Amino acid sequence: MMDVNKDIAPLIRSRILVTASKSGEGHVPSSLSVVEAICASILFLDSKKLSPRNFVLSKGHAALGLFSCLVELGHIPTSDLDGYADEGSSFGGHPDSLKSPHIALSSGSLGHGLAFAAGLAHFYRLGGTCSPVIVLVGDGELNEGSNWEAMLLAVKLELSNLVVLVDDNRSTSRALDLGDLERKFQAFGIRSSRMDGHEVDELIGRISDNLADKSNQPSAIILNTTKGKGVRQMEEEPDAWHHRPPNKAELEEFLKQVSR
Amino acid sequence: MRAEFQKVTEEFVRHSPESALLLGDIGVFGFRQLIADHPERAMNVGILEQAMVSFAAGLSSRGISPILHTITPFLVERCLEQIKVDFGYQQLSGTFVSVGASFDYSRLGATHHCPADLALFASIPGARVWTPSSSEELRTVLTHAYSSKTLDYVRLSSMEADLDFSVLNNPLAGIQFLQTGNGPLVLAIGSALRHMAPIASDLGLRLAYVTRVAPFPFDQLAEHVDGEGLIIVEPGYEGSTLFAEPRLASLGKVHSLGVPRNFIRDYASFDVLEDSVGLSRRVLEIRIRQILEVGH
Repeated sequence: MMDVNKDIAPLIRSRILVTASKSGEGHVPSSLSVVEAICASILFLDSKKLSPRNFVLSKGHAALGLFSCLVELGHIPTSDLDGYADEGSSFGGHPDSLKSPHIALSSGSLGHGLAFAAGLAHFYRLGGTCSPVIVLVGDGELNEGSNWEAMLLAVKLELSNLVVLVDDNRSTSRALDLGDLERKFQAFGIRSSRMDGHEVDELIGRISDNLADKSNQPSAIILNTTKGKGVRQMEEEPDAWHHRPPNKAELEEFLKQVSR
Repeated sequence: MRAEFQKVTEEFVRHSPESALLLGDIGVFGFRQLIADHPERAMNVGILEQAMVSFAAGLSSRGISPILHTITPFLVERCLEQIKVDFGYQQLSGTFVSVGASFDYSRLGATHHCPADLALFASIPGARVWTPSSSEELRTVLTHAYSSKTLDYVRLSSMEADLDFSVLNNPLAGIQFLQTGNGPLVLAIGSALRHMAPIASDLGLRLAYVTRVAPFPFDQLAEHVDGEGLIIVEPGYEGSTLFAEPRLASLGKVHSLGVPRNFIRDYASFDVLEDSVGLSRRVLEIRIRQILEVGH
């Protein structure tokens, strides 16, 4: 049986690094941070025979993480990333929903995705299917007040089919400390819990449990993650690598690290 | 216009299961029965305009036609980026209906004024911007917008043109030529028709009218502008229509008479403020006479 953490996550990380290095584009540490969160979300949706478009990447700068997951999970061909962020490519530094049927939202500007996902979740409620919608936001992104507006709305509408994943890689610690995020979500009426954000199977189980809950509340899962996960230099200095793809020599070394 | 907006919208939402009305805590009383009957599709989301727009985009991305409504600056200026990205960039459809126009809330101060709305919304590629001058026209525009898979902005104004609607054949047709005459062509934008119709009549001017600022029906207008030039009288900031359609500048002498780009700091009746910014019938007539006298 395939172990997603051992078998697929390293492939996704390698693809992120290779694609970024080759194209000279990509927010690599952020993309490495969200690999398991996206992987778990898409695998969960796959298990329900739902489109990846029920997953909303709100922190659009982690686009390379999303695209690499879509490749390794078989939703788009490898060749789609050949000319990444280059002329004629459907995939670039931020996702464009008009260029791929697998992309829910043209994100990049932060603070849009949670409310957009609430709209999707409400649509499914209107239709009676209550299909799940998963949105991934960053901890830094939670500085945007629009997220908290969206939470008020999601609670008012009792969107229990909405799961908010927070990629808590401490991006905002250099600016605004968010404090106790679990309690903040709970204060808004959102069920919340915290867990290791780099464990795919456990995260799939938590998403499933949250959606099975009958409380009529949306839920949030705060993920303890590491920016630049798998690459020591990026983990140690994530800010220095924020939007700096590796050169050839660095790529060689980093690929060894992520494949261990 | 607000009453007509409520009437047309209620009819549409009741009969269109794939529609939704989102109110930013405005107009709630008028829609109370609709909200009670269809709470899942007609709702007062509260004062959270940015989330309201992104939420509506989520609905729209799955085929629901959202109608969003609140006071002009909160609908347009506060969440312009959400409109630009979530609707414009993603080519999603929706109808944004504002109330308050430039300074209809004349006694509330500049926080509730928004003369920039027409140009701001016109800055979003693909958006259609409408500024009807009467309730009858509003009905036509809204009915059209609600049934179109487009991004529409419709500006309600309490200052309606007191005209027989039959003179305005069809607001969807583009430029309507209302009167022949002499001198430069005068183009009234939306509710500016209220004063321009009688002024043009008194002065014997050629008068054209348009409801849709963007995309602007340039070709229809251009062939009627001669060496005498063009005077645009508009209800938003002066230059709004020129911003929406830069080719207008190529038509020779073009004057724009709109709201000056200053904060209106006075509290007063609408008529007093309108006079103070040079858009009352009295002052407009003086300004137009001056343009005619100096050889435009």
